Amino acid sequence: MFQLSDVLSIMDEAFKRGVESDFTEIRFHRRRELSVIVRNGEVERVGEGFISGFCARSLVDGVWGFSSTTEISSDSVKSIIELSIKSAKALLGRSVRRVKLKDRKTFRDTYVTPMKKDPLNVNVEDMVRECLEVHKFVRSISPLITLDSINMGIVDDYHVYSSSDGSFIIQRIVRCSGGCSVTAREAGNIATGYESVGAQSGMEIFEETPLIGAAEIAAKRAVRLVNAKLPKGGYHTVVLDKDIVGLLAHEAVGHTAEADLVYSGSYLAGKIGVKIVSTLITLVDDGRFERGFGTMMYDDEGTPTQKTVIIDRGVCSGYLHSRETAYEMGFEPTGNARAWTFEYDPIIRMRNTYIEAGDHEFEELLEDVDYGYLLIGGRGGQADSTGEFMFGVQEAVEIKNGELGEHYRGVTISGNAFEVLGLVDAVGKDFTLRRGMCGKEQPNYVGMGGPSLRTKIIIGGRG
Amino acid sequence: MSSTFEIAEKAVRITCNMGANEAEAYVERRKVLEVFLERNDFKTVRVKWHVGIGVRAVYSKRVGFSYASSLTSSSVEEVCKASFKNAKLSPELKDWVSLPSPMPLPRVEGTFCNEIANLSEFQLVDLARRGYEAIFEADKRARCDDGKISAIIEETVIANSNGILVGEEGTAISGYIVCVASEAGKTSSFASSSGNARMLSQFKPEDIGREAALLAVRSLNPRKIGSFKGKVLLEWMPVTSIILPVIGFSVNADMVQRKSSLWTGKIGERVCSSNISIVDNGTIPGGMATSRFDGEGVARRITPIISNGVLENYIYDSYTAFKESKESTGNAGRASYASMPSISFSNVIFNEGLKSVDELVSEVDKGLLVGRFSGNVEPASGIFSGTVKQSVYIENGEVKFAVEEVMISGNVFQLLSGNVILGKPRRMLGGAHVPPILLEDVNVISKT
Repeated sequence: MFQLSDVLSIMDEAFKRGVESDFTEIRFHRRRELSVIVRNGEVERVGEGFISGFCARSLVDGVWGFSSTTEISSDSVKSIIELSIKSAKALLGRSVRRVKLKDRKTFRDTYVTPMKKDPLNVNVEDMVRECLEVHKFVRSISPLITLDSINMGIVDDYHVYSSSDGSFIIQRIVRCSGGCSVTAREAGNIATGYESVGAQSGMEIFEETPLIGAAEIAAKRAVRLVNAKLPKGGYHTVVLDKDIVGLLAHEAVGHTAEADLVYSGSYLAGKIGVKIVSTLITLVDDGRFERGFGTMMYDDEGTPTQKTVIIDRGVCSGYLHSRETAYEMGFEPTGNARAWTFEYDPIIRMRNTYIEAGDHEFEELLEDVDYGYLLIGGRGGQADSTGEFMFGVQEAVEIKNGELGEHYRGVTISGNAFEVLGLVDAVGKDFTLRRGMCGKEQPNYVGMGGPSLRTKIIIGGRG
Repeated sequence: MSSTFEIAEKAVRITCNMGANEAEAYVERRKVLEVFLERNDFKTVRVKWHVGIGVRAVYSKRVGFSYASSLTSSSVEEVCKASFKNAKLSPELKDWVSLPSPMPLPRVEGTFCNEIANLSEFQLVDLARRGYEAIFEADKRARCDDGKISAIIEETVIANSNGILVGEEGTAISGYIVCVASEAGKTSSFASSSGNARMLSQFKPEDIGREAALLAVRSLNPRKIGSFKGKVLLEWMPVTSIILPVIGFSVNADMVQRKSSLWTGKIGERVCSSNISIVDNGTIPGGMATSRFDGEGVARRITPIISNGVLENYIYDSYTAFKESKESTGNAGRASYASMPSISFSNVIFNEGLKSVDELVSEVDKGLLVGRFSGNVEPASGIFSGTVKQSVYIENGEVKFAVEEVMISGNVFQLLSGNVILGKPRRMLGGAHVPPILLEDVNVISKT
């Protein structure tokens, strides 16, 4: 059985022997996962398990080395510290850059996700039952539904950080989430709807935002779109819903503010203090957003997280830093160095990225549109460091003279985020932060969100 | 310390002793050596040791699963207990027959390389150096955004209560490099290239660096073009990202049995152009997905998927095969001990055409040569749309210039049934062995 106290004493010991590096940090990480997947009413998976291990990262003459192990013992920690130093030495003479770290305070602290219902002793049977009920409900919506997949999952992470300069931080972060994917089919036409719930929270999130609500949205969307056409492709005035704005904030803008990408010449390089988008836009990356999927009190370098403003009323105002890039560029570290598991060293990642709400009612966003589309529901996407992006959207609704009309199938939208945000002429009052995953050499949990807003965009449609 | 075989057998025994009707244990030991490049420099060297076990317990046709990254006696017992508990919680799979039984396994070649197994941190750094330097030799305007070279040595053992006890050791080396290029203050889009091999002698880091650099440079100075419907020549990477997921979904026996595949009931029928033939081959020498057995311990084999446009076979794991009283095709894939088996291609091999990319370009009046696709593909319906990167406009048989803010869209099923020309050479991208493919009637959409 897992005993945190064993781990803490191993880590406490580790630096007492002294280390032959300029700086070494050790992380312990244990991730317990519980997941239920019900596909077409059949339980496809009731699974649970854990991964756990230690890693050590050492800086030797300005060069990093890293090693990890799944073996939980004092000896294995000693051995990965040695291997991390040996690895750093293997790069000496090859690496041009000499890393220096921005000073930060050391902390001895503990953080646990605030929650009412700790999933530690969750009854898996209840989760299976809930998924099966959601499945039955989905099938009751329409006979056109031929495929549905309902999932619930809990990820319970323990992170312990200890550094040779005296930090010792314990964090337990709990994330509960669920999702529904529903496919409808008629006469050779197929359409899929997807909707999710989830937050950094205990099991109470499933009561506050029930999975069945998400299932209803997904199912009705699939049925509505099964015989829908593709919208007319081209450059259109659009109202983007909150999910798509979240994608835009994260994928297309947030990445360009990551200091490692700034270094590589991303769009935001050299733009601090420059007006880059509409003054209606304020965009932040917040490490402490309540219940955010990407929230944590300290990053994986032991730096306290903060709310970092990237765009302040249209003007570029900051980047996201690790200790290394903060030193190099002359800023303070922002608490954005994150690692996926103990098998990765921390790299610069976003936490919860969003555009702040504006002052328009949703109806007002539609009012002034002669012809355009309301785009609803994100479906993943990618962007370049130039700000050029491509996102999938689940559904497009025609807007004619300010009124919503015909529903169309999901399409892909693209453009340059800074151009798109430059053309924003109205921002909604509504706001949601959703859970998300981000991939950049290693995956990680993030939050993304924003209000609905109006702009212009290229829609990939029937051409 | 117990051997991997002993641990797997013991887990099966413990789970059955608890009352499970059947049990299966999948045990893995792995060492990974990595060099990571970031911000145009060598960032770090990583040495990772990892072990893990995944156990499936079956109780009255109910399947449960659990895993742990630990092979200590107490962890193994915890995993067995949890998987049995989860089995009892799961509703009955009425079509469940059994776990697979032992069978003769094929011999495979080129899957274990002593040089990779014994690679030092210094040697791996040197391989990364060769890839890195090739960037600047190819073009001074390019630089490295990030990259990674990984060498893996892995032992996998599967035991089940029907008597399967199989194991093998394998090695692999893989790498990717992402480049951007700059000219006159303008930066290109990200361009990436990757390469992989099971034997060190077949791994060419220089090719990865050079190609990433040239692709980045190719996307410099992009221009806008008008929308049209026409010819699109997909290079290797977009073939794997647009076409492969749709075919993989459509021939997956699970999707067929659920009638989610549009190719349900179409064995023996023409499903695409007669120019296309595809084989799943889990035993090809040196293939990235080559192994003696799949994720359930079933023998890997050769399964023709499409021959001259005619659908020949679906791919099966044991569950879907036994449902139809068939033999599994050995296509139970397994990402790691932490995941249950699920149907996937092993090495999926397209036939090669007769013409090179240059020759195909020379036959296009107006079209697009696509180096990378960044978009969405719906594997069930075949509908795709997304942005193209490192892509160039073709006119009168010649490559003219890079394009910007251009999307392509269409339906894979329709496009593959139209006029399709496969080119050469075929390249290995992971388990996919694909040629460049020229398609007609693709929507090319632009802002102007």
